[in-house]
Amino acid sequence: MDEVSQSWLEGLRASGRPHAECVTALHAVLLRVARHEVSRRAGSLQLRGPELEDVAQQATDDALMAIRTKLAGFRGESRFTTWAYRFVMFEVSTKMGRHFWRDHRVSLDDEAWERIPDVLGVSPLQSSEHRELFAALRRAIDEDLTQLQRRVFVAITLNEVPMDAFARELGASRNAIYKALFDARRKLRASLTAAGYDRPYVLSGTQ
Amino acid sequence: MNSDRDLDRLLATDAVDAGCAAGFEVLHRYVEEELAGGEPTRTHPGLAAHLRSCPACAEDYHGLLEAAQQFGDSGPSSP
Repeated sequence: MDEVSQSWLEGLRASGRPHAECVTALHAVLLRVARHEVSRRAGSLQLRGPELEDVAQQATDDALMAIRTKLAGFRGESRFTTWAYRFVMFEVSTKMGRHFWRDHRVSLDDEAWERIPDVLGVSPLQSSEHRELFAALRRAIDEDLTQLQRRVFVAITLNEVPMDAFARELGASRNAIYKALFDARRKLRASLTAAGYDRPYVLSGTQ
Repeated sequence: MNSDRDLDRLLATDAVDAGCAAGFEVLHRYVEEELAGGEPTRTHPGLAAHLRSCPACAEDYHGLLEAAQQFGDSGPSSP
């Protein structure tokens, strides 16, 4: 293990003042990373200065808690900081997901299949040329997906709702949402194959 | 047609996809290997496949890569 990682571990495993000083130092480093990450992602949400700082502070506090709880899981496979910064990334994602619904109104209705040509960047003429393929996809979304799979596919893929925002909306984990999305994609491909459409789905005449 | 959002990509899945939780467990190793000039896509094919399909984990990956580059050497005594 490298020297810097070792010093982090020693400080966090110490007691008394050395421990407190190490925790304070770690919080400061995590906050610097969180502020940087929040700024990097700020374009995806209409958040302003004080709100960005609030997200960074909350993400830092929760990341620090997770790191202290899971410290035994650090086995020196990377620098300590890289291992620790993962928690900052995850917490920033989660906190920014909370803000999504405040500024966005997204219809999660079942009619979103109508937007598929737009999502794919297909012109009305091209959409007309591939009417049967889109109709088969629409049928598959309507009839072959479970309610959860349909909601997840429509929200994430067609309405571009961030996964963490949608996970929060459903009270589910990111992993559970992704699993539903994965299954939906696989099922839709199988449905298109059964309908006679094999990959790659060449939309001739498209750009 | 927008090549980034084509129908193939919209419906793409990979059988080796590790998923979000399993991917998170090795993300730090993936990033370190990439920064060291290695080929994490070969040593961690499950995570590589996942990052191609999961927008949330891909965002975390990009953030972690940047943070590890810019702040990776911070120690307890760093100013």
